[in-house]
Amino acid sequence: MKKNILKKLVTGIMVTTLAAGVLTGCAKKAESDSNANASNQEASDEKATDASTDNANTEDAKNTDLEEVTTIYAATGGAPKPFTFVDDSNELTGHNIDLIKAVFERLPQYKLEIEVTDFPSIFAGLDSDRYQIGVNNFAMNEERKEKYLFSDPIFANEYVAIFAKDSDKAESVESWEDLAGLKTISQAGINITTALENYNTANPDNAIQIEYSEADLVLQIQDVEAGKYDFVLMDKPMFEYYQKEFNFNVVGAEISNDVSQDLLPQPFSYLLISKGNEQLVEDINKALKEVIQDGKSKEINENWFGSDYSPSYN
Amino acid sequence: MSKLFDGKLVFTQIPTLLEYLPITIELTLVALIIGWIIGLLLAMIKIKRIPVLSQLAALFVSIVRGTPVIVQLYLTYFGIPIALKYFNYYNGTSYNVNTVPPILFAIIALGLNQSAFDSETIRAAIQSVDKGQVEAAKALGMTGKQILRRVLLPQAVTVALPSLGNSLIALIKGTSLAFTCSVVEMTARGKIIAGNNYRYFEVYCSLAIIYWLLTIIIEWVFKYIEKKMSVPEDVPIIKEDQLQERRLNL
Repeated sequence: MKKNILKKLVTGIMVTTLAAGVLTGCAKKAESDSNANASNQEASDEKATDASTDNANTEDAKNTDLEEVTTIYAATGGAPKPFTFVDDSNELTGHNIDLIKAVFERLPQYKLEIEVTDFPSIFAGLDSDRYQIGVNNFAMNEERKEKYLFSDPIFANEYVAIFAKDSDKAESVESWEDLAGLKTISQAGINITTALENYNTANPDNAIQIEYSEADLVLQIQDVEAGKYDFVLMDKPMFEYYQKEFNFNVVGAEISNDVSQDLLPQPFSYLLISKGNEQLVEDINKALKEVIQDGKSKEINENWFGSDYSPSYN
Repeated sequence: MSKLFDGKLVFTQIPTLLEYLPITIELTLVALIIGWIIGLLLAMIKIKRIPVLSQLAALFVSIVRGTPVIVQLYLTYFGIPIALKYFNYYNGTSYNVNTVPPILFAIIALGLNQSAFDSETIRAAIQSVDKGQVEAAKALGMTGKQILRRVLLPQAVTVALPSLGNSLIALIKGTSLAFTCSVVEMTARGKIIAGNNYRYFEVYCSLAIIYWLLTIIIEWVFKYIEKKMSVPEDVPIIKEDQLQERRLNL
């Protein structure tokens, strides 16, 4: 008797959990769909509401009539803010996200699904073509170029080197060369580390000491504050967000864009696209150009950073 | 200097994190059940020394126990699509894995991981049952299934419970890696929240509290079950000398 009850219990648990799994799976999908719709609407609300609703209608019509809409899966790490993050109302947003949505609004032949995943999983997912696009303010380097395709630049990056406030080095730093011999901390795989590595490859005799860490940026800045590292390199707009929240006892030394241009062939951020999607890259680039030229990109930039970091296409 | 550590936030954001507790529990429970079932199978294969299968089982257990869970998650979530891509390429098919919900991959990876650990526990527990009892059961004419169900399992479960509890605790913490498979469970939610407010340290403090409490609950539950399952202490045990006496009395 007892055993029967146990048996029933176990099977009951199994069935319910499996059912729950299926249900939550579906629910999640539905949710993300509605999210996408909502944010599309939001984005379009900013500009010419009539035109965009028309757009949406034709999009729907195309969806049903031609059934040639390909779903494109994009992945993001959900950090760093303000490039990509999930806001208080649990919606994925940020500069990169707004931009990629603006791009795909112009590409009715694709349906964009953005998934949040662990940062290293973006690369693994692109390798396996589970995701077609990586959107995480990615910089370009040779290694990445071999493995992935790149869109045209989506963002013109500016870096700041962050020093402790009492550091005498802070004022003398004007170029990357001034950072040589100093000790820094950085996370593997992000655009800043790429920049540092590129510099070191180009200047093996004048290298910057990089210590790799998965530590959060807050801790990294604290380590600089405490003198454990000489400096930490950050995207300028991000640093401003951090200072607003934490008000660290540090100063940011801006590194002139000319110099960083020498160092990084392209001090830009890109969308990463998995190999074999050449057509997608072409379509994205076309739409991206439109987004930048008609001022939508500028609008997004000013919304997030207060100034325009759009790459110029002259 | 503004607040470096926002102590209040550690507690105020716990409810937001708990919204994702169901996902964590779902991952845990389903992986647990898969782990027990496959673990029992593997254990039986090993005990019965079925040729080929038992070697394969040993290889599987060795690989799974010898690699980190996070690597296994990567291998299932990204390895299977790559394998499928090659399969499609060589066979001209066009199967697409993207339609499979990510949580399934996490469940498979965690479940298989769990099965490898549990199989050893279950095997040891079954083998701890005195052979004489199996022989006695055979002598009474029980079938293999009956022996397993009536003699081996009830005793083995008692022996295995503490270890199974341990591995369940390991599993619930293992689910915190499911974000690698794009499954947003509690830890992932925490990382996402911190991505918004930059308060990573605080979120990890909150998560530590939640996981700790969960573990305490599991410990309690297992202690309770152990108590229920164990042979009651007030059952009179016939000691050797009493036995002698009885024999003499006969």
